[in-house]
Amino acid sequence: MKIYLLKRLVGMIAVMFMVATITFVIIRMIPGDPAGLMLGPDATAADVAALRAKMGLDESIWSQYLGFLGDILKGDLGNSIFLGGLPVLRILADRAEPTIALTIVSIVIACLVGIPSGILSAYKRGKITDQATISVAMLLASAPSFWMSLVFIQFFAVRLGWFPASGYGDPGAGFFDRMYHLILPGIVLGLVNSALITRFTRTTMLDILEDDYIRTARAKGLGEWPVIMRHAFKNALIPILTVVGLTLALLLGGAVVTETVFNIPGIGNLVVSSVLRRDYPVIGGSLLVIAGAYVLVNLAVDILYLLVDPRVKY
Amino acid sequence: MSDRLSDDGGILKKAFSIIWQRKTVAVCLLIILVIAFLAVFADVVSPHSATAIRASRRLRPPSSVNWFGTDEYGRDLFTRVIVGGRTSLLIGFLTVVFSCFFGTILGIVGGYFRKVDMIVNRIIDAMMAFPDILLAITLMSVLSPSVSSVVIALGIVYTPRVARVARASTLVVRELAYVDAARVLGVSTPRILVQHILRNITSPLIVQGTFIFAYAILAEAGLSYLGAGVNPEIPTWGGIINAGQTYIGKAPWIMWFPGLFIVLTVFSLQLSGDALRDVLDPRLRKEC
Repeated sequence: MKIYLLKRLVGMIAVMFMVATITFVIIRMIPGDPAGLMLGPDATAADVAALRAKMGLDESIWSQYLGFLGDILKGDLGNSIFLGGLPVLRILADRAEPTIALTIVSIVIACLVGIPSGILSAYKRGKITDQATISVAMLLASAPSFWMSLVFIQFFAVRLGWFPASGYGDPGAGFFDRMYHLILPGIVLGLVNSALITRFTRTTMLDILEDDYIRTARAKGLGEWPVIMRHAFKNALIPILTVVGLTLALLLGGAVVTETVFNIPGIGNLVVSSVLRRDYPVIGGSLLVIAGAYVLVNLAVDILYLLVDPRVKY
Repeated sequence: MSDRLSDDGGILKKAFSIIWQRKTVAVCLLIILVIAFLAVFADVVSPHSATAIRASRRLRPPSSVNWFGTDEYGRDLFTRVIVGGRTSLLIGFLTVVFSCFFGTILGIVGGYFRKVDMIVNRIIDAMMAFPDILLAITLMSVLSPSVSSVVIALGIVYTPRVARVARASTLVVRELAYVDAARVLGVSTPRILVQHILRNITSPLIVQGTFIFAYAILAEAGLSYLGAGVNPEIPTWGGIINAGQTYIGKAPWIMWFPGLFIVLTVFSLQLSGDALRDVLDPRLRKEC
């Protein structure tokens, strides 16, 4: 197992190295001069030249690339062009809380919707309930999250006034107020991402229901519901865990758009506003951090898989 | 000499029989065809212009004159939505072509040549670590706002997905006896790759292409909604929703209809993709 973990860790470092390289390539594709962009239209040529030298833009592309990788290792993701020149890592850390909170609320909702509907679908396999559940799941997966957000805002916030239409509470807002602001975006993001969990739960349950021990359970006279819950679902939990981990990683991307619609001051919202004003250090830093989180979540799921299932051995 | 695993006639026949058996798939295909027809012949189908501003008819609800109502400039929403479909479908289709072309090359080369496989695989893993929409808007920040830029950005985003499928299928096919036989007979490597590998991995690629069509339409709508897509003056589904959100309380129909068109199109494509997978991959047929 130790060797497996070591292998995974080396693999993860290789992927993160590629992620950093891709980020560098994208950031270097920027049209125009980053130094000129940072200083604005009033800057003199001498100022721009001085900043270019300070930022290392005069050096060869290879030394810039090595410098970029070295800075990442030191935890330096550069400074924002617009947000008062603050370090990117600090800006990202300040914005992380709403994104993490939204991701957790959404994954809980996605599981609460996805797992029971997947079980129900498997229980009623081939019947109209099964077909209806799968169709609804697919319909939810087909709706753009920003559009679903607007439909929910129109109905639950504008018309019924049950939830706030946007924001994350006032700056000094307490925990419950902030969570209250996350209910509507959490429901939208959770529903959109529940489809994968529903379909996967159904397929896994149907596979397990064909196993011998299920036949034994039925033969000893157990009803269909105890067979499903006590025998099948217990064994389906571990594969479902994998897909929940995958959904968690997908939610990181979903948060980009949903945070923008609901105007939640998280990393997703930061990325979109940085793209619109071409704040490249922030864009690069966000790319690295989000991709890093994705890779880590995937690794964590694999390790968890190893810990909870005694049958899995590497 | 035919060296295909399955013949086209059989697949077509099966496809038609599945469409016939599953009425929902037939309905989905019909929906896609109708939306494509409306998009192509928008000028003939609708008597209104997509761009003509009529201040006197601002924010009118759906009626017999303006079926989907009008927007904040008094423009006919039905016309704008079907013209918007033109951009969305075009970008979706071209993204499929782009990502299938490059993804297939990358996947076959990775799957066939073991030495390059490690690098290709790491590139695929790293590219897939970026959430789709995040990578797409970042790429759009360095490209100009045009249809070709969106196709390039989304094409780059979805190339690794195709490459992964192509690589996995190539790994299976390269071990089959007829590929060995071809090698022994002295058939050149490029010929083996095209004649023997590519021709036998088309089924999973077609299925993946259908899903990418659906994802690309969703992603394009997201980009346009965020203001990072095509030129805002070109009507797109995402762009119309973006403009309509200001009037969410007063004229919610502006954002309803383009959204419904996206859902209908993506839903139909995904369901068709599922059906195609059932036809082309018999191992999965028991699940349907």
